[in-house]
Amino acid sequence: MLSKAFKNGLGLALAMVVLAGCSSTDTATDSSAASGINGGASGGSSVTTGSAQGSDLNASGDTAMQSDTVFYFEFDSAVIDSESRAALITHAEKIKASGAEVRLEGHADERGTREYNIALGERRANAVSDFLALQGVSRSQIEAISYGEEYPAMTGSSQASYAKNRRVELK
Amino acid sequence: MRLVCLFFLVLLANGARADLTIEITQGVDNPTVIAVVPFGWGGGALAENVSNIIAQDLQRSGQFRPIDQNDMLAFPHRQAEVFYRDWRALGTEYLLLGDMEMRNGRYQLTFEVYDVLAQKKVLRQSVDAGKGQLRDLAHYASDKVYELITGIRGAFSTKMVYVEALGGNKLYRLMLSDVDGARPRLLLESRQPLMSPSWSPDGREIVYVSFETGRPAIFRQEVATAKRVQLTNFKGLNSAPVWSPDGKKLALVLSKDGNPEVYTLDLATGSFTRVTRHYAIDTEPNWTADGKGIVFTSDRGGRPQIYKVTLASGHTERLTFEGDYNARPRVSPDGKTLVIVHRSNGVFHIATQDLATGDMRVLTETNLDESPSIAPNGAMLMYATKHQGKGILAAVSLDAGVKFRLPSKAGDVREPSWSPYF
Amino acid sequence: MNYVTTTKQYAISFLHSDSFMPVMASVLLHAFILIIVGWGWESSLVTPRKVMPNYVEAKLVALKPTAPKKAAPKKIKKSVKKVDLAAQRHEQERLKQLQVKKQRQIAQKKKATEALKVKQLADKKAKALAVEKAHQLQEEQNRLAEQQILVEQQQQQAFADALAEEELLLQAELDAVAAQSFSGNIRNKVQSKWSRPPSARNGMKCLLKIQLIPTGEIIDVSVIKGSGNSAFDRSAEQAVKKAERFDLSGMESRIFEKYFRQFNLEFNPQDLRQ
Repeated sequence: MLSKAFKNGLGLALAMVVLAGCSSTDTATDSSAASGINGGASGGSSVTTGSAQGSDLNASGDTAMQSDTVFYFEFDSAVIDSESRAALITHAEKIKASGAEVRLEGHADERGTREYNIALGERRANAVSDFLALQGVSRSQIEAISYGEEYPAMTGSSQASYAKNRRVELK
Repeated sequence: MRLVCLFFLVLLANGARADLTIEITQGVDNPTVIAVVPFGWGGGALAENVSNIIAQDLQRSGQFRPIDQNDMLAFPHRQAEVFYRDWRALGTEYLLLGDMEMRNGRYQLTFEVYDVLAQKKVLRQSVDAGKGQLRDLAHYASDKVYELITGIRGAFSTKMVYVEALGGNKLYRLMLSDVDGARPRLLLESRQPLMSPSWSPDGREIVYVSFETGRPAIFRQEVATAKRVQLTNFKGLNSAPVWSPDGKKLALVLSKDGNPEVYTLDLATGSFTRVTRHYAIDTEPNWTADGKGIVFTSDRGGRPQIYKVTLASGHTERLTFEGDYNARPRVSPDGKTLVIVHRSNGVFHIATQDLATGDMRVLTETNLDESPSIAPNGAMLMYATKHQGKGILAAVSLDAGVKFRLPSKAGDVREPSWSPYF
Repeated sequence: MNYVTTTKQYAISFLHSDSFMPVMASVLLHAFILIIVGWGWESSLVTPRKVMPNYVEAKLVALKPTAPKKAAPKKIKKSVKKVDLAAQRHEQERLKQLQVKKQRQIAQKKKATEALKVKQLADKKAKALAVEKAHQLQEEQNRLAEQQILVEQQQQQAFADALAEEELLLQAELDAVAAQSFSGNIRNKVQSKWSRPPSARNGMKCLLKIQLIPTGEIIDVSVIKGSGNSAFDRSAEQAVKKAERFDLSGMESRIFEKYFRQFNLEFNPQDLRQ
């Protein structure tokens, strides 16, 4: 994990250096008149982030239908329903047996503010994480992360799609 | 004696000139009628129509009603050509004339503002700019005209950043553009989410959240050079960074201690200070205008509401009480108004709340309105909303007098952040 | 005996007191005014009022009729007098009883022989007193008659003076009412033309001096006292200039000269933010 982060950082730093080198193409050239307008904001500097990550972040739309690894929630709620609890108990046994690391991705529907929804997604992921820990799964095996409303499982602004988007995915 | 007094009063009333003063306590709030006459220019075709850009700037502010060029009887370029009576007949209150020429490889614009009713020139200025900066010339003139007539500094020359998502959230872009949406420029591109861009008070840098490491992390980036630095990499949320008014600190949200809490980060020392302490969600911080407090969203009362914490004492008070969902507060530059996302009847709108009286006013009529960002002059705000299933940006004046959508982009556009003055 | 004398003296003193005449004059004057206002002037008042537009809202320093002020002290004085009278009567009663008691004591002390002499003396005294009383009464009646004439003459003079004054006051008041009505029209027109800049706030004040010609046309506008916000001041000036002229139709030239040839407009918004 650490080495990965380091590599990413290095890649970014390199990209930064390269781009910074290119960025002096258009700078303030108009300082002759006191009332002149400088073109600082029209410069063409941008950054592209490093390569895609190891975990499959973009596949959320595909996995949403696998109901046994996706757990749904009510609006502005992080309460796990009984159906999800039963499925999670089964998962807990498998995880304990395999010793594998799992990732819990919390999501929210598009209603409400983005940053509050990120917090709400985390609350849902943490609720599932706590439940698994109660079943005896070691916390070191669980990573919880929230994407808020960034990755809807279903697009559209209907109650049906909202219900599909308030979820935690187990990966 | 009494008779004498009466007599004196009568004399006073009849003899002395009556000092009549009529009090005018009300008015109308009609937009000012201005004629932006096509500017004089001897050269060939220009890349931009400067006078048109100015007319659009002024119109979008809601404070002006520019006269249609087709209705103008003449296109004067200097005072001698101005016939006030003609302009007055069109209902014109102000007249903007301009003359452009090329001098030493630069565009030079001389513009003049006339008060048609007083029949006098009230402003004359010259400004020059390099090639490719005709829009800057136009916005500069718009700012000067706006300030002259409204008494408020213009913000047409400022910028905004926003997030654009393409291909169904497969590609994220952090974009910079003029506040009318023109001249978009890429600042950052990523396959993972980019969120919460926000400006430094000097307008040179931005902070934002990027998921590029597989987790949310906060970065700062110089706008002109694209030089960037990762500021946080904590377990859990690294969210909602905003710069303090003095530029020395950030307020941000971390959940490293188990649930989202507001922290401050001293940029010089790199030290974090925890501000909130509650098992509920505390997020979306924004500094008060004096930098002495932070407003934030918390659901500590069961539902998201706005609270304010005074940094010196830690004293926390709830600010919003109307409705069961108030979030993402932004404080106006004068510190008097709170702009929030407010839900009423299940619909999310942008609303203002007067911090002195507590009076709330809903500004927008669309649904799923979010991420309000206030112009540095406090007159307008930009926000994100949905139009035909697609994220777009829109603007509304703080008095709700004018609303308009910005031109649509290729992708899903969200999270506008209005820059300070440069 | 003393009682009668004292009452007379009171009556005289009342007539001579400096409050009686103005009080009477005032009472009569007000009755007269009431009649004039309520009935006598009706026909002549209707015409100018019809001309005036009835929308009256503008503030104007109007001359207040002074009538109500007169009424108050009058009442107080009357009640004071009544109290005095009662006290005097009471005192007279007491003195009289004392006298009777004393006389009784004297009579007991005197011998029967002296009784006749005393009686004769008393008769003589009584006779003299009766004569004197008759004389006094006559004199009093003469004086009262003279007084009456004098009072009537003075009342007539006061009537004439007060009538003239009241006419002037009434005229001034009517002028003020007319001016108020025109002021209201001016105010409405300016308010409909005043487009405030967004920087305008409650508490800002701009005082303009306006000069008109009798057609109602504005010939000059100048800022006497600015608000400190040039956009605000310019908007006020523009509001007046947009108005161009005010409707003064039906205005008497006296009112124009008195109020409208030159007047002030104070721009002082009350409906904006602080």
